[in-house]
Amino acid sequence: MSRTLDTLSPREVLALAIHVEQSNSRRFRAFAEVFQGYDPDVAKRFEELAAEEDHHEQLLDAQFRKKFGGTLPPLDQVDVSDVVEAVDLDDGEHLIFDTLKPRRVYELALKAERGAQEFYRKALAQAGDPTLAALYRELAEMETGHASFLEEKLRTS
Amino acid sequence: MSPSGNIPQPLTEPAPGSAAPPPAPVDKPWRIDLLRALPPLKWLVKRRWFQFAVVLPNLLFFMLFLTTGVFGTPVGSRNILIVFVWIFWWFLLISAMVPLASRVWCTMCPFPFFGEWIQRGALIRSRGVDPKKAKEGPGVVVGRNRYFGLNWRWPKALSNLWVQNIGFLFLCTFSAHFLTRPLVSVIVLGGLILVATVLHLLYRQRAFCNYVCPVSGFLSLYSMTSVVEVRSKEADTCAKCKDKGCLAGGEKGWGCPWFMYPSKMERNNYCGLCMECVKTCPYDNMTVNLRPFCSDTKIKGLDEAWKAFIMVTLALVYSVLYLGPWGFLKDWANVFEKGNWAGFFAYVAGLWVSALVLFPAIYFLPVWAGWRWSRQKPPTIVILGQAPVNPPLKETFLRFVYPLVPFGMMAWVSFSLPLILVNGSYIPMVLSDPFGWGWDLFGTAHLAWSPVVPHWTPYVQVFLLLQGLYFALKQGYRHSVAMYGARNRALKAFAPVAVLLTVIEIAFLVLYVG
Repeated sequence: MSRTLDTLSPREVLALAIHVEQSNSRRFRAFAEVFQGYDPDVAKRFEELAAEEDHHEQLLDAQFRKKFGGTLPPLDQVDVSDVVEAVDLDDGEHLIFDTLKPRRVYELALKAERGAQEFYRKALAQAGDPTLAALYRELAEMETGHASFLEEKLRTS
Repeated sequence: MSPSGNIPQPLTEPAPGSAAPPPAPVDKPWRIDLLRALPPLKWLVKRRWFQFAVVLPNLLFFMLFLTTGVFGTPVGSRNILIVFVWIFWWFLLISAMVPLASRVWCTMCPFPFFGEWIQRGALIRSRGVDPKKAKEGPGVVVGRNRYFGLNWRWPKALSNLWVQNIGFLFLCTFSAHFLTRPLVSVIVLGGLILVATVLHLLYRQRAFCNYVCPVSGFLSLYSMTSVVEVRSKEADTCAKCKDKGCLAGGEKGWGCPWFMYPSKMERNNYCGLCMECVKTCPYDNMTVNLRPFCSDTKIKGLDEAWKAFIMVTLALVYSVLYLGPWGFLKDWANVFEKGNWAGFFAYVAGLWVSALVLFPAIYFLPVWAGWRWSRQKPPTIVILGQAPVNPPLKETFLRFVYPLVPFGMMAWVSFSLPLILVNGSYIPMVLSDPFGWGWDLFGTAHLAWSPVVPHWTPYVQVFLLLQGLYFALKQGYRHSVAMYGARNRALKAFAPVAVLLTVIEIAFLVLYVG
């Protein structure tokens, strides 16, 4: 059964954040696999962003080990009712009309990062538990960092 | 845009943080999940053999028809190829399959059968593969499936409907020949199988169907009206999906052969109802819905707009040619029999100029007039993110072309109706004697030719045409309201187009009922 964010413990919240990064990495790789050989430029951007998500996951994983130790609770993003951060194509017909440009990949990723930023900020505003509040603040700040990375990519691409 | 269709929306999304008011909530139109309501249907479409099971009998019939075309009688009305394909199939396609089941013809179409078989190296099973092991083994890995053939990318310049538009117009130019001569039909239909096979060997997945097949072009346009759609059930579930199996494929099935990203599908245009996404979705989140008529209402580009122009022009020209009292026009079109080359060139020039230039230009005029008439002086202070006061002309044009979709489709149904009612009695005859060799397999070969309820035909045609006009006006006005908001401006903008549609409707009515 789907759980809401306010039912999660701090340990589960961090596990969820790790899962979100893992999921996004897999999504980026799935898109890269489809675009490979179709538009190598677009595939390269997706692959690059998948690697970046892997890096985020490693950082969060290290934080989890430090804070809570042990193994991650078996929590899938699908088990949680809200969509925290999900990178997606914005048009079902991109491949038909050949309309997805490399730059657009960064824009889509940035949209997802901003969504996550907003999500953690809202969670922070509603969090009663100080440990949870601190965690949400950290996560929101981390997403701000990710968004800045993509903004820089957009500036230079 | 609404996840459930193409309900007209404001032209621009409000910028984050802007003072623009949130968009008004849009009523979600009704949908009935057919796979939930009909479990046997769900069981069926989830089988790997589903598509093969519907293509195979169709392919066998098709091969029989081609054989009769080569070895059977050259008399069209006595050859099963002509009677079944150009009378029975055509009527069934435009009058039942498209409006009631979208592109279900593409599910069972035999044209890509051989090409897809070679490309996949499989008839039924899918070839799932770990992309990390892409280089181990033969063929090319796309997403998480392995394919054979060259798997080239289709040229960007041709990633649209223009090849189909021109191809369809070209075929229709010679319709008087292949609609009556079995051997010419064999060349056309056999040629399409050959082209499909070659293109499957060269290009990725269903490039032939998406960009070349002349039948696919108009199915794409008119499937927008259909009461059936394949869509995702919950947008959130798709958003959370990590593997995107509907796009990338896997062990359970092929990634969308039509290049669609099924989880974000908003129109029927490019969905061939192959049901691969229903099989590959790990969350069982893809389904087949029943929905209101004309639920997809967005024309995306000029190629699609011109497809609409070509189809309405052809419906009008064919009505003049085959149902009108001007026999000399029919003779002009039938050049190989009558030999009037000057007349034929006049017919070709008239048809092509009308479809590609004249009708689009005539249609543009009222669009432009309405756009001008409803213009307002832009405010001196522009609020960021707010929709512009005056929508761009191109946007207005594309939105107002949409009414030609239901209008054109119903015109084609009206045109096709007398073909089946008048010539339908040939069907039992050719079933008993498919080659026209004098057989009488079912005792129906010598039935007398008898038109079915010919006195009712004009009434049904009038009803169908009026239905087309009703949906055209309704959807055109909805588009106008979506663009202009205020009712009086919306009426002003759409009124000239509505007048033109009514004039064309009257022309059809005069042709059909005098």
